[in-house]
Amino acid sequence: MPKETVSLRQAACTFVMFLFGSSVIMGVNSEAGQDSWISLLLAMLMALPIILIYARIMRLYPEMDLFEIVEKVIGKIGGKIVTILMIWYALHLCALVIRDFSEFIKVTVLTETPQLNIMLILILVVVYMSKSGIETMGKWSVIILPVITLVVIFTMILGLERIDPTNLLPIMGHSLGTIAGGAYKIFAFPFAETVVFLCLAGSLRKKDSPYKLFTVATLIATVIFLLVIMRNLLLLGPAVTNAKYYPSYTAVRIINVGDFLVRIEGSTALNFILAGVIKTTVCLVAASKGITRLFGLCNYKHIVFPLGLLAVALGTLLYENIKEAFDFLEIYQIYAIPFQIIIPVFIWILAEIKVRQDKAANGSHSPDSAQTDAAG
Amino acid sequence: MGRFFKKKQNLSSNKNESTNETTDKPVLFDSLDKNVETISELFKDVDILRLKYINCCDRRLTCCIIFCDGMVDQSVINESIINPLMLSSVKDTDSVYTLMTQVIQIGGMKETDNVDEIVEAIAYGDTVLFAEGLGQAIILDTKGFQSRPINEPENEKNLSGSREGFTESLLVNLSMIRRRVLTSELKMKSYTIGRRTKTKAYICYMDGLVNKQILSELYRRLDKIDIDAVLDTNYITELIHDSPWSPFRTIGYTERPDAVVGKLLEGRIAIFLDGSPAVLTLPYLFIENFQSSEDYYLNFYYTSFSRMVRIIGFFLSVIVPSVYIAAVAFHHEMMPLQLFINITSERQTVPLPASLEALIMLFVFDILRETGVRMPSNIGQTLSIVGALVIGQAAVEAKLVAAPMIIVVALTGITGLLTPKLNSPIVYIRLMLLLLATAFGFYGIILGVSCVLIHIINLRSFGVPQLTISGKLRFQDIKDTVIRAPWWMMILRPGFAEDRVRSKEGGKS
Amino acid sequence: MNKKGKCFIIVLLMLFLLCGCQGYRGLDEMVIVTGIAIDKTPENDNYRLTFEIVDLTVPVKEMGLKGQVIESEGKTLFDAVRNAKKRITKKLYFGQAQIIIVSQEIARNEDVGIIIDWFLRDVECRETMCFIISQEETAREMFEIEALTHPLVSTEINNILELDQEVTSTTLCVELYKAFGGLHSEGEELALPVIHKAINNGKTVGETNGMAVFKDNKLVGFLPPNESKYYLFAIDEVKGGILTLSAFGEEHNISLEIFENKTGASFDYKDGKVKVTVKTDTTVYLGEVMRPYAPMDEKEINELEDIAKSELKKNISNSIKKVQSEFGADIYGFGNMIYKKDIKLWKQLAENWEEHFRTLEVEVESEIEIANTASLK
Repeated sequence: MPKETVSLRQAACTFVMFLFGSSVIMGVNSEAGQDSWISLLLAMLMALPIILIYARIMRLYPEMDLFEIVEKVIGKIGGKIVTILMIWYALHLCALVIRDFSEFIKVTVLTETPQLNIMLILILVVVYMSKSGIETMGKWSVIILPVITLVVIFTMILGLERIDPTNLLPIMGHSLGTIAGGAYKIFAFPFAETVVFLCLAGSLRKKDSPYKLFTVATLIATVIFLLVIMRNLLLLGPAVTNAKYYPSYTAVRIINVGDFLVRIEGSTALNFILAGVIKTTVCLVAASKGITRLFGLCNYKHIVFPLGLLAVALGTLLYENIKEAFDFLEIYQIYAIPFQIIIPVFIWILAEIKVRQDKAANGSHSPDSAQTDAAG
Repeated sequence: MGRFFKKKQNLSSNKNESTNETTDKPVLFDSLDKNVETISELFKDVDILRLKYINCCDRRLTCCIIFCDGMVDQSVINESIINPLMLSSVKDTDSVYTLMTQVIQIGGMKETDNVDEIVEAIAYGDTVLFAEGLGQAIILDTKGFQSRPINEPENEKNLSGSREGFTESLLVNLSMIRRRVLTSELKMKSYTIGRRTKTKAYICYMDGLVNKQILSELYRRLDKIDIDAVLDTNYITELIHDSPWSPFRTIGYTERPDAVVGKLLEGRIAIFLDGSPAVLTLPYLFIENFQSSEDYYLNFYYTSFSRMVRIIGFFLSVIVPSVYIAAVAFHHEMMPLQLFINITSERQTVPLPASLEALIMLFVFDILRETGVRMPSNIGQTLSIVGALVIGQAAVEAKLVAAPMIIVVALTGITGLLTPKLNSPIVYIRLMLLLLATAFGFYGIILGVSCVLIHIINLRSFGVPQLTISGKLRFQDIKDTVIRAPWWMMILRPGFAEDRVRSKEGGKS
Repeated sequence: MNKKGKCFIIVLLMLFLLCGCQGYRGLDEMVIVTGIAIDKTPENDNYRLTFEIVDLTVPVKEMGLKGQVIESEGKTLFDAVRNAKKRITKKLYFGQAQIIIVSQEIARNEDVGIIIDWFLRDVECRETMCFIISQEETAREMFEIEALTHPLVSTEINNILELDQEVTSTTLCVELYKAFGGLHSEGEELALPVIHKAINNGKTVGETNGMAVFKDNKLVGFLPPNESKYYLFAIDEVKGGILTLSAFGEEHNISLEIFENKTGASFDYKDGKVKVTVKTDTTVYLGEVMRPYAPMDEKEINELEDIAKSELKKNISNSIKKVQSEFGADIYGFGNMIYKKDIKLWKQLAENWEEHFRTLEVEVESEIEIANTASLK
């Protein structure tokens, strides 16, 4: 299988767009109301250690993806089990994202089109991008990320006329517990979902630092989120933000500058769709890579299409209605703990031990030669 | 595909002929009559062939010159071949060398005993000289066929700058390039392509600047071309380009010598073909679709603006009909009240749904455009009046078509003409986006545009990705793409050229 | 073509043909609604909705814009909306609707929040629609007026409301999302704009008429325009308007044009009593002096400023006192201010906020600066 490499810049853009993904649709809101932005900042702080752990795993075994690392560290059987778990997580996440997106499109834009059709054309584009490879995905992100950022900033600036700064008061009006609960939800969705990037880690070149990648990208994504949450809160106020399913969409709807720049909510839909494509692609590629590793296939691109269709089928089964979609977030934060926290920490500890063992065993043995083992 | 099978038979029959020739090589015996007979046999039923027997050297030597009428410069034959031969008094006729150097007064001379070469030479306008007792033929360069005079190419007009364009004559084209680059770095390698036509092609490149890997890859692909005839450079394009199914160009073409030279100096390779005024350049980057050579001859502010207009024009041409359909059919809230009421009232009385109307009108516009290309110029006026009045005005008055649709289609068509190199992809992408907009509205358009973007990112031209994005938005990358920076700022060559010669000004390779 | 290609094309074709552009809604399949009036039928307690639509039976280019009115009835709002289809050929389209007029009766008897629900829930309706109370007997009477400057009544009313803040400052355009926020915020009651009919040159036209005061989300009374102006002062929503004064021995002979106003409110809690201070800082132009012309001098201007200050202070205080005693509804958002600035205190006072509001001590301080006297000395 030919090696695909992406530059640090491309990987970072993909990362930011992944984080931006479905969480901006769902509004990143919670019971925290006007203190959602504090939840966000808290979530970022909570996420930093975990993200650094992910980066460390990548650093210990450069240019190897999670499945290879796991086999090295835990052994064949254990590796296969973890691979299956991660494949399931990635596939489930893919289905979740597809389903969330088509819900959004169905509710706001195409109210009469059957949801399956909406999901199908989304998956066609995603499959096309997956088949084109990770490099194409990286380049695509680099082109599209500025577009998304510009839209967010643009809508923020246009909305300045109507904002009411007192909407943010009372600061810390909610109990610390509520804020922390909201923060954990944001942590689980989307920050810690970046564990699927470990499955693509084989594409980052050795000389690029994964620490830089993860931290810088997370910071950028947090800044953009912050802008989005602030915009929603300041424009709409906590009552409307909490009541509506898609507050970003509503917030942009009320923008009216001089009666001319009005009705621009299409731009928010644009943002969501573009970010959603990337998030789905990353999950799908991660799952495909896992399956190729599990069954010893030669190229993950062959299995992308069937997996995509499987994800759509899974998506149709996931919920009955949109309320369940939003309620699932409560369960999700618990259900994701093994995938997001337990497995990576486990792998990290074992990896550290193994690397130290290898180093101690023969003085010259280093993670670099571990790579030549894996390339075989 | 059928051609490839046919060609296999040709191969075997050709072999027979050539073996005949080679076994008949003694035909280029000393016997003049036999040689002439052989050539006449080959050129049987080619009635423009002319034979002229000459008795020269005080009647001691009989020669025969063979040429094709109309393709040779008759005065050269008369003055430089027949005249000196007739007047000569060289005694030693066994030595071709003597004949060649002492008698005949022609610059381009070559001796050969390969009958294929002789056939090619006669067919191309050279004169072939046989002499009694000479086992070889002498090919003399007397080309004098008419070709189109050099004038401005129709499709690539300039406001200022050179007005020369390539013609169908290979040598004239090559001369235009050769004149502009006066160093020895400019290389021109000849190639023959096409089994039955044996068309001449030339590969030009700057020795110190070109990427050798791309060059060898090009040779490899050219060698693999196995086709009857290559009548135009587009045949070559379709046989060697990277993505056979993509509507986008991955090999550029141009009809202007100054553009070709500019590209050569950036490390690209040019392919010239005899009989075609279009010259191929490769590798071809996506941004070249929007560039034109006059960008460099005018002020950089103006040309930066022009270039941005072209890029925006491309996007508009592709997106406008679909966005209109999406807004009118799915996303009615995108329009402010007054506009909405106006468009709605226009659409009340129209029979067809908007997207069907759009499809029909776009098709009609394409018909008009195609007709405009093919019609004789004397009915040009009539046609534009017919097009504008009948189709535009009358259709609206008869309430067959809504007025906003005409505006949308006109905008689409006109912006499509901004970038002629992208004609082919524009038509298909526009159609695809229109269909997606009809079915899925704005959502479909966004996904369609994403698909097109993925496709363009995937495109490669001889291994060089067409859309070079390393992620660093350096000024270096946009200096000659979206805007055109002034000449004193453009120091480096594009990325795919040889690294050590990146510096354009004052650098030594 | 190989199998894969054929399969792909078949799938694509099926995708398009089977789903059949279901969301496609051509422009000739809809009726554009620009305004909605909500009433209740006395007989059976149904909702009667009246829609103003754009009349597209005549071409707009030649005959100009015209409006038409459709009525329909239903048990709930959405029911009434759909029942309208019984009378018209196409479905209603709400994406361009601009105003919602609610009758007094509904506002008095029902929680106004339940009316808003359908408008916010429906995706088509925009959240920037204006929410208005009609002071006539029914809301639908408002669609019978003659529109003076725009052929559609809804657009006319909407435009009147939108500009009112800057021109007369007697009423406020409250958009749907702001109304929703007002209904659900702590310590604040809703106040909505009011329109009624007026006679203009023999014709009946629509006119804004101050604000409507709500308590517990139900209508309790009205603030006439001369008082709603001071309400707007207290909540910092004045963007223009005129203050008239009596000076130099005459009654109401000075006009001050408000250029800019900034209001700040603060509170103080002592011994179980809340004291609110409202400070206004206004910049005005001297617009009109109705007396025999004499150039103004410095002293007179200062005098005017002082008179204006005390007038404004008196008027705002009186207005607030009136609202306190008559309605007991905290439309000024003082409670909300306490909630935002001192949540602990708010938690103490929240239960009997009405009592506290009625007995609130409000102190008003006004600053007025006359920036210029237009073009006469």
